[in-house]
Amino acid sequence: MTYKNKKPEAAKHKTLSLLLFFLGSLCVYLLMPYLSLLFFEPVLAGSYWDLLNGVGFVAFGLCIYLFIERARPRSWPKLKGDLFYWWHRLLAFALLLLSSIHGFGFLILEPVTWEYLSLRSPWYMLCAWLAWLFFVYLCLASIRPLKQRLHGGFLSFRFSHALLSILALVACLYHVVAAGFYFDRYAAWALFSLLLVLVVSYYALNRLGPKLSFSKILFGRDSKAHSQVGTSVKPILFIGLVLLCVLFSGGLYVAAN
Amino acid sequence: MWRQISWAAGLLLIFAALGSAFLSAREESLREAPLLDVYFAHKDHNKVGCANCHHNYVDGTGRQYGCYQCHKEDETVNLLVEEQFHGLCRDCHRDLKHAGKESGPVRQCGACHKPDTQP
Repeated sequence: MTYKNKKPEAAKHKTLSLLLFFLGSLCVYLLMPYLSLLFFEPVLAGSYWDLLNGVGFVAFGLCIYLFIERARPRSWPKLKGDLFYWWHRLLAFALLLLSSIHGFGFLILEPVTWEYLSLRSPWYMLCAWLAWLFFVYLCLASIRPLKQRLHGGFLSFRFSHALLSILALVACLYHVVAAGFYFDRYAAWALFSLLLVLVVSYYALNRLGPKLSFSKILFGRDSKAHSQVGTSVKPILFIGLVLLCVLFSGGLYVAAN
Repeated sequence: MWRQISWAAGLLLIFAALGSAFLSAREESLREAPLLDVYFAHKDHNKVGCANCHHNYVDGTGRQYGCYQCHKEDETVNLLVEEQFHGLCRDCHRDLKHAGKESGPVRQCGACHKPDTQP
């Protein structure tokens, strides 16, 4: 018996209250990091700079969210998966729009930033443009006729989609942190790297987990796998994740300095 | 199996070649591009120690006239011009702002990058 058949709760997500709660939570999640930065950060640029950077932060939050939400049908069975396929694509196009506003807004309002279109642009800006190109490709390739033409089979699409999404996320992370506009301390690197590792791990566990029984081991949904591994291995797995985070964070910090 | 390995090796070679071409083009662009205009007023910086910027008078490095001579012409440092000058100006402005003191622009590019004659 599959997991989907075990809990057919198709109608639940359609209730207005649940959707409103979901949308409200999403808005809070997307706006909270930037609003808290505006509140705690003593150095603000003013005028359209903070606004466009705010749009960029929301786009980055959306980028992270898209990893979590895509995997949700497995880990949050009360909400139907089909809704999230549609929602995922819609939000991806919103991400493309927001990142375009963020980038092209600066190009229009701050002509000096045209310098960032050249090869001599700093790495964190080149990464931003690379991530934006990935977003364009990911969105276009998700449209059905283009998807079939570009990829043919679903496996090819899934592999390239996962790979480019992760690369785009890492490029965005580097852009946000290495720009040093709002995060100029090691703590920012560590925090964002932790976030990134957790998100990608969550994504990987949910995507690959059913095949590798890894998510079952961690989350303990499968009693057989759970009993085979035992509780003593779980801390080791989580320590591994933390070490991965530290290595990743330190590596990025060294690379950027 | 061998076909897949050769495909992967071919792709790796293509990426390596493209990456190498990109890096050399970037380096050339960095060395040859003119510096952006920067507005700088000495009178606004009279509370900053001279040697903070004019390090060549203290450490004996560099030439007597102008920062750009070394920072643009010397191949050992001219790839670092963006981070050195941003590090000098922007980081100082930011540290002052963090300390709650009056300082110059921190982020708006156009607030500094404008003709030197235009206040």
